[in-house]
Amino acid sequence: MFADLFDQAEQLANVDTRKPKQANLRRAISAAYYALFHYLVHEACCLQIGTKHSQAVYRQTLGRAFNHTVMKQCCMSFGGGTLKESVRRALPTDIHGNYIIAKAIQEIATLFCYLQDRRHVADYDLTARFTRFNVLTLIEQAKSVAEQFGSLPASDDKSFFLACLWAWKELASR
Amino acid sequence: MAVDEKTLEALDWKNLTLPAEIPIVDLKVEDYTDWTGDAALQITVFVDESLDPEKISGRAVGDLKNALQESLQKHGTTLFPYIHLVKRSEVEEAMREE
Repeated sequence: MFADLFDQAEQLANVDTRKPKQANLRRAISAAYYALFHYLVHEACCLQIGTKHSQAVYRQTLGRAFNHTVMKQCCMSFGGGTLKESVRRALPTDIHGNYIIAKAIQEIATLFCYLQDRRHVADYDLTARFTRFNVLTLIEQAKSVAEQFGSLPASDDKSFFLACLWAWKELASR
Repeated sequence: MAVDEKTLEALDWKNLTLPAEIPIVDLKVEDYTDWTGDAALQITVFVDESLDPEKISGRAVGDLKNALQESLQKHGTTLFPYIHLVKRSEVEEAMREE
């Protein structure tokens, strides 16, 4: 699904041979955002449920529980490189007391926040203007961060980040 | 509201190590409020007109944005940076629409 959405985003951004239509660039942004959203949800659900084909309906059902705003709040924290003290206090830290967040996690989290905002602007703010160069390079960046995140070896930190995507609201309020 | 000095200093791109794959010609920074109402920065990076987006790697785009974000963090700016890579000609063309 998410791979198809990335492809769709590229097709929309390139469909107009000369001057790109704003409608196509806006839909491209939206497709890129949902590609990244569904990628992260998929990764989180695979971790929770499993990756077997027979488990797909369970993953897809659980995927409905993910909230865009909660995911953004989670990603704002992970993307910034630090977690609030109440969240990180029991987690392993370096000698300076910092919980280290892998670069690939920071990058996908940051880009998720960026794309979510862009999606809102694309869908609702008609005063904004999008350009082909901006949209195409953004799609490439999104594909790159997803690939890098996917290449990150399985670890407690990676699992924790994926779990936080759905648990953040409760966790951050403790 | 005018962007503060430490932010402008952080975004003095000529003093940063940035990917050679994406030559910059100008940079503009403004205060921004994102869709959730959070204060942020909007950074428009104007790139060389000859660049072909099909030949730019996603990795290079990420490295450029990361370098700007890290510089902001080192200068104590905590606002989220919304960084847009654009060609000035495309921006001007899009603004002439409708």
